[in-house]
Amino acid sequence: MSIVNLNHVTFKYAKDLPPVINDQTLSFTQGTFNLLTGPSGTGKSTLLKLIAGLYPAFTGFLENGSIHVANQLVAKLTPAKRAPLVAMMFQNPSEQFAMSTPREELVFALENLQVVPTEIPKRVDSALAFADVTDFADRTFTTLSGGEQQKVSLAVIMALDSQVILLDEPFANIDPEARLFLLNRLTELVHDHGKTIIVADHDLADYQKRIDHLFILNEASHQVESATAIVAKARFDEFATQHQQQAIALPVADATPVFELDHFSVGHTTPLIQQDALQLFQQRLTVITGANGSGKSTLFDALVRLQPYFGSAKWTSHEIKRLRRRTYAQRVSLVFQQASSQFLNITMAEEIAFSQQHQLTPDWDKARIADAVQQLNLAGHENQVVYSLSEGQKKKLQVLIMLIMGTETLLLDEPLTGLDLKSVHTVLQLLHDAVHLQKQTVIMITHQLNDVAAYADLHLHLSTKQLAYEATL
Amino acid sequence: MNPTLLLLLTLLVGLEISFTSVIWANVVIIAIAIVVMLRYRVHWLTFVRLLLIPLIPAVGIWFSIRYFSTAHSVHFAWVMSTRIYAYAFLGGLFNAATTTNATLASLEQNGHIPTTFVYGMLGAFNFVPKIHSEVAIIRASARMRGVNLHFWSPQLLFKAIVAALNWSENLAEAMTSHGFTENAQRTHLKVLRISIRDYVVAGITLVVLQFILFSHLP
Repeated sequence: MSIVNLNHVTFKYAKDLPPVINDQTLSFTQGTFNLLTGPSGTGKSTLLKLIAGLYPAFTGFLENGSIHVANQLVAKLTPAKRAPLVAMMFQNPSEQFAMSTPREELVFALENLQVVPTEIPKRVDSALAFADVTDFADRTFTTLSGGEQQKVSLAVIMALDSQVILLDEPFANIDPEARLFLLNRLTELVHDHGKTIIVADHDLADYQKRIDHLFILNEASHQVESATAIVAKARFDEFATQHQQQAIALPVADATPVFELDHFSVGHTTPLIQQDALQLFQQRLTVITGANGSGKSTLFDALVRLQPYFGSAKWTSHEIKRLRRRTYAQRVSLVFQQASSQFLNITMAEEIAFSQQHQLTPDWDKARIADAVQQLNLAGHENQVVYSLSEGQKKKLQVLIMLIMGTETLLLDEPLTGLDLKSVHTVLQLLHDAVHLQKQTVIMITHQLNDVAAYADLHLHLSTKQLAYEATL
Repeated sequence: MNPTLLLLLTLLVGLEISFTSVIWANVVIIAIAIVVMLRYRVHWLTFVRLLLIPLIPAVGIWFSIRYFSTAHSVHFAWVMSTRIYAYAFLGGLFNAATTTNATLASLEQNGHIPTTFVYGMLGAFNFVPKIHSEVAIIRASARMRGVNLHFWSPQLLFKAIVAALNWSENLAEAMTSHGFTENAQRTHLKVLRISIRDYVVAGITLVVLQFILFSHLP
């Protein structure tokens, strides 16, 4: 029996924009585990939010069609009536709670549903236990990690007892253990409680044995198609095939260190990295790899003083926490994982001009910038508002404006996300030139490993709280 | 005391001393506030702050009335100075006796304030730590581009507003997804009531205040 039905749905963000979802007819069967995949920015979130009844209520415009959950028109239900039918776990763990602690949030949700007060504590306790969050039910959300917050989100959904559970890239910011725990719990919800799950994810690892159906969002037709067994197998195989590892050098004994860690630890509540001793080297392109949520970004935050650390972390023999922020930022810069954090102006041309105005070395002149803009396929977007660029364009612009600055040490957090293969090569070539022509130091976190070995000098891998150099990449 | 009743009482007391000029009333209010705050074991630094922050306006108004007003009234100069301190200590009392969460919960249940307002405020308060970290990121990002942003810089404000708009949208969606319906009926795990004792205390406070205000004390 199908529980979610879309009937000729066409959805646009504005009347004069092309549709994000076009003439979509689709149904999901009760008691199944469904996975929705497709390139980023093509409308996976939009589809989930349509089913959740959040769109078009919050934004956009439903041009045609209707969406039913359990034979009820979602758009017509009040949130309190809708929540027991369909609930959602959001991509950003920290932006989905109105109250300050998990227990308060669960009580808030149940009060919204007008559950009788005597019933509330019982439902709260069993939901907390199911999601394994009882131990920190009364801690404030700001002290919880991304993984812990997503577990709380599951507890809320459990308390609401929703029939259909939607998850929008729920594991993007969480550690591998939490991801596996949540996947196991979700599987249990399907098999033992008859819930219907639709999860949007671009990372297909660990799903193959759990799911009943794979759906693929087709970028060209703006439609979701159910994958045939052959297509599904190909997709999973593509994901399972290990990336072809290539040999890469290990650090040589006489290299000059740029960063030195000594009995260093960093983390939000519990340490993510505990490192006895480690050196990172000058004038090298070092690649850092490791699982989601293992602490790579936190390490960078500590290195640029956005996060306190314990023990010692030195930059060219100076203890980082004792350096003046203002001067240090001119020597060590970060290309943020969230591209919009980098931007200070409105249009692309203004961003580039701003960097040019404050650049530290004259390496990047007008001609070279124009050339890079061309190569990065950014030409023609000069007067576009930076926030309206696609995720891939934002990433490329971000890398470019930080390269123009000419900072001697450049840290990059996932600069290759959402880039097509040609752009990946262009960006890597620019970074390679920065190291080998301008004598800069580049340290880069990336998940995207294809062809990186050809440009990188060193490879650091983070696992079980330790960073170590590896001879392959 | 129930936060809604306490809020009404402090507002009423504040309003009344604005329209009367009795030094003793202000002094008694300050004294009662200090006693209540001591009972709630307020940190001594809070007292220091409450004494220092109103100091400049209090002294300023004393001198301007004493020397530069048409009547040169010493009495009125003292009325105004002590009034400023009375306001500050009324605020201190309210702050010591209740919390933001308790006040908002009580305003929802006892004050029948629209739930949209109550939970909007709660959500906003819980976002304060996020705003701090966002501002730190924006400033770091600017430093890396060779610019030092101060808290009054328009660029910092613009970026903070962009971030806040984004969060508010996300939060509103999440609250909706958790069943929150604007201004709809909700149940309450903790039912808050205004006790008879609270009404009696509030009543006595107001009667005593009238007595002080209208018995020709200076």
